[in-house]
Amino acid sequence: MNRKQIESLLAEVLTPVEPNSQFVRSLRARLVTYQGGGALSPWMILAVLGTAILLAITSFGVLLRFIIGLISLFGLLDNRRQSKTGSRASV
Amino acid sequence: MTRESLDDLALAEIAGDDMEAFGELYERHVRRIYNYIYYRTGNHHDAEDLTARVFQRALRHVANFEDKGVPFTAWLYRIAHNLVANWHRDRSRRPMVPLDKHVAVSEVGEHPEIEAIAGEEQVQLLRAVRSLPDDRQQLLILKFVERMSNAEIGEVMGRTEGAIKSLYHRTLSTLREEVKKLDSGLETGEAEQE
Repeated sequence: MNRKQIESLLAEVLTPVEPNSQFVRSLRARLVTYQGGGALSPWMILAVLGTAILLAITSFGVLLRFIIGLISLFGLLDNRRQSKTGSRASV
Repeated sequence: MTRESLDDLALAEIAGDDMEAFGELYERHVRRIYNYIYYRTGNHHDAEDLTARVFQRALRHVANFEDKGVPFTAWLYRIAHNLVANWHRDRSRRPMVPLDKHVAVSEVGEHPEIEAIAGEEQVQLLRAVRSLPDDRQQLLILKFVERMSNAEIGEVMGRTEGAIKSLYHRTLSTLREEVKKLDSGLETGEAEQE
């Protein structure tokens, strides 16, 4: 087989194929959705950051309240113990 | 100015923020990318899957696309080339092209034996093409399926026109050898069967 024959056979074998038209349309639609829901959307980044900050502030507030509560409880318990010890001493 | 009248590079510049511009680029190139992937993978299912991934990746990164003097198509082909390379790596065995669908037996009404011989030659040739290294397969697809000139192929593959010409000649010589080998193997097999 010579070069010309190979070239003409290649031209017969390697012919353009047409993709399924439904695939072409649906892929375009998917790309629009993909971009709309893209993680790199600036609004999405802003929303995620805002939520993260709010969550951090809320959880910090809860933590503070818990610590204050614990300190008050210890203070209360200590007060009771001291008052009991004081009453026994007076008897 | 409508998006249809803009060239690829102008569209690529605005495509990061403008889905219509990206849509126009998609319409212009989806068929050629599909063809390229189809001939590299050998089946429509994987061609559709990989084409979708090429355009998803392109959409993710088009905002970072820079005009470095190469056509936008070259950028898309590079994405496709990388994804196809990964696809081949992920598979333990290389699937064969469903040859029967491609072999266009020339003219209706020809003698069946002549048709069979012509078909067999095409099958052998396609097998030989599939056994070539990636860059040579890419060259043949761009030349015969996309009907690109050597200069255009050079832009896509990042080589000079001369380098493409020389690679093409070497590819044809390799193909000739491969077909000869496959032919002689086939004849030996037939003789053994007899």
